[in-house]
Amino acid sequence: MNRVNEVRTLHPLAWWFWGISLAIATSRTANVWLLAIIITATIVVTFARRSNDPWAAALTIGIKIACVALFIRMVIAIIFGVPGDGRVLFTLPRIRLPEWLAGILLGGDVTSERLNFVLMESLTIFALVITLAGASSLANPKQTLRSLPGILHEAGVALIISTTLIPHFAMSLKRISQARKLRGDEKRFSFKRSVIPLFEESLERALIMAESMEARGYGHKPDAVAGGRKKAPTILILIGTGTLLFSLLQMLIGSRYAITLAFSIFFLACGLTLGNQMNTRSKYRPIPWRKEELLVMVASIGAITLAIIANFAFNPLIAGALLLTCMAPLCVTSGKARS
Amino acid sequence: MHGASLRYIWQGPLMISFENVTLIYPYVQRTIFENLSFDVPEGEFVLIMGDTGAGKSTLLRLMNGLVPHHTGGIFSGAIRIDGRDTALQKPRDLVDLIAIVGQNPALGFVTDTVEEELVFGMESLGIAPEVMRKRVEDTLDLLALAPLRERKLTSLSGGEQQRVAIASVLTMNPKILLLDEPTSALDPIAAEEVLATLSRLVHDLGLTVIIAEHKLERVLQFVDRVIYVKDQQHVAIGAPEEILKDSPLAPPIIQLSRALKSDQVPMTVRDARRSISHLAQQITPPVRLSANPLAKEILSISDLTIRYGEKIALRDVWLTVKAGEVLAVMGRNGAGKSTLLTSMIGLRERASGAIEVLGKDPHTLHGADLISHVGFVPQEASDLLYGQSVLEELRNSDRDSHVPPGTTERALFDLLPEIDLTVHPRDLSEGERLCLVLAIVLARKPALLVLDEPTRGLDYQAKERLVAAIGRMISDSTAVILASHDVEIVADVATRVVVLADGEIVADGEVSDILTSSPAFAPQVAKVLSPARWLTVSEVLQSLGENK
Repeated sequence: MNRVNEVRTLHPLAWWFWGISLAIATSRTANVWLLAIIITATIVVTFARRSNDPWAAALTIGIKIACVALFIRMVIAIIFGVPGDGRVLFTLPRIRLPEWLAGILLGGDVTSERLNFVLMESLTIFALVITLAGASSLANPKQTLRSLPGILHEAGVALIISTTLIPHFAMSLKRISQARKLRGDEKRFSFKRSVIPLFEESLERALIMAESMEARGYGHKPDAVAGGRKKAPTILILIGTGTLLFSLLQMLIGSRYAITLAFSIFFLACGLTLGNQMNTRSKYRPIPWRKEELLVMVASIGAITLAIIANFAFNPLIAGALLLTCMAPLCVTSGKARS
Repeated sequence: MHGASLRYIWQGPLMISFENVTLIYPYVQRTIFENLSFDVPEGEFVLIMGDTGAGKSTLLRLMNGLVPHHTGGIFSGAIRIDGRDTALQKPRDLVDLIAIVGQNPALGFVTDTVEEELVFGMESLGIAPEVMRKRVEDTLDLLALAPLRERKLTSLSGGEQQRVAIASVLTMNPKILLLDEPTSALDPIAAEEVLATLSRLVHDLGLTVIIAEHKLERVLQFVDRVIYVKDQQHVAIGAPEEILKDSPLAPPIIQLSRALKSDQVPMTVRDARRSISHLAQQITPPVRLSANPLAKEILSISDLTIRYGEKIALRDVWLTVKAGEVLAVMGRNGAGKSTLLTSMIGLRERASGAIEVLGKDPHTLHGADLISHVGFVPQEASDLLYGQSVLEELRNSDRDSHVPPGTTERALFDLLPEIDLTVHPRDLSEGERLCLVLAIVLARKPALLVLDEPTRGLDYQAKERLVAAIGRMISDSTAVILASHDVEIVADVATRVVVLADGEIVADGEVSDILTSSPAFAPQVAKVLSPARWLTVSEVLQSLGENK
């Protein structure tokens, strides 16, 4: 194939880097316009570059979920009254609740301040869902897991296989319902005749799969790696993950998290490096990481920086730059994402 | 226990050696093998044969340690594979030495494209990328898979899937290849293709190949040695001629040779043509009974078209089946046989056309009404089973079909005299399960019995029982339709054959016309005794009886 005419697309991890960066950017801004720019950019890039594979539907599903969440959040905001000042838009009749629910108010005044606040809050969540859904519809999940560092690969394979369960489940259910028809069973649903066979079949399938993987060397460890050292990376990664969770907790309750975060990153890095050194797996035709991927990475970091600089305000210059950085993947790629 | 095999001048180093192996599954209180000892030298093509449920698959999986490492069980003795003890090493650490391909390769696929599947094992072993690249190309060429490298595994045909499964373990460069019924789901051509490939691996690469297979007529011509698993205490090993001389399991050519009172044990059609065909010169084939043209019409299909999305699965099919007929539907994998069969029970959405069973559209029938019209045995017979024991299945069946208690049980004992009613249906062997399903379906005495690929995994005895069951059920108010790749069973039971290709009926006629007209569909007896139009051993026996 002529290299010049080859479809340029991104490494799946680059798609994820872009999506996660935009998600971070959304959490650093609370400006409706900036959020709108990020959402629009994500949707435009994803629709332009996604393939026809099943996972490409992630964005459509994401939009639906986000819309439903937005709607529910708004309805709740209107129904449950919160006493406070502000410009009253309209007033709902107040419903009396029994005494033991005295703390909850139903109905009452709906103020524009409150609606604004709730809308902003839900829009942030909306943008968060959209950016992550965008990345997942662009990055082939199997390729993504394949490109993870070797030490995470085995967990990755297990994850891939578990994702194939759902279509198998659907197929099994169909077969079982057909079989019930063939046996003259007229009941619509029977736990014993539908669910038990389904579980049995899934179990059997899982056993065959496990056997096949075992027989193909999955989990094979060469004898050279000594027993005690084998576990070192796992322990380091566990400590790293633990401190990472702890630092997140600190972040949420507003205490200082920088030191814990640094610790967790240190442990994770040590664990992954050590694990990778000991890893004996090899990769067949790895996807290259080229300058396009680097460009997208730089642009994505740029988007985060811009969102922080904007500091919750709207500035046309920054908005323009943000739009550009968010759209970077569209500029450096051509054609559909990898399937 | 050792058959002195004199056919081999060169006895290579031992590849597999079993020393006093005993295996017991404690929970089912069953001894699987007792004190089993044998050796297999390097570079042989070995066949494991035996009745359904005799333990062929278990024997295969003992060799690479999946039994007992993966299944549990009490194990004693020693199994050495190229000098390595399987008790001390996990199957995953033996992959560079011994590889296994399961009964249903599609269920064992880990990735989703051909190329990825080929590298899965190599990546686990940490083989250098350049070596992997080279081996993938070599293996693709060796198994003629190069045009399929980018294809999704789910889009492959049965034969292609089987070849990919073989390729996916060959890339790990094993010395031994184990296969569990590699051709049972394949049409004759695809089966031939797979077996020829295996034979080439043995001859060109010096691989030791061991397969468990029921369809002896397909494999015998390729193998060097046979392991016959009679039961737990009797396992014989030896040259094919020696083992098959008086084994109850025998392919049609050997049965023919016995029927003609020849002391030859022919392995191939060529052997048989040379050694025994002259013995059948004096007798003439009996006239096959054809269906009564005035019989009642059981099934009528007119102008049937079925699509799956863009793809047309069946195109303008016209078909009528009269009472007393046994219709065999043949054709390649993917030709539309299953679609045609499942449409007869109203499981397929029709694009156009009409189907009537005894004047009623199966789409409109439900429950007991449907099953008294059509009895259907699907390809995966176990789909129909959901009870926790055979006995429970039998009782459920009696209740569902409103027949007196014990009816299904009697039908089952006709098919399978020795069966433990307390066993869980999933623990039965493939053949036993089919018998159970058949008993359940026959309990209702449906007017039309439809069987999709009924001989998968069946031994000759089970097939004989199936033939007998079909013979008993056929009468002047019933008809049977079966789809099968198994030409021998078609020759045995069918009165008429329909050949499908690409969703269209390309041939429809008497069994003897269709089966003798194409080499792919010709049964062994027909090949040996052509140009005379014999189809089965029982015909020969019948004529010999009349001659006396």
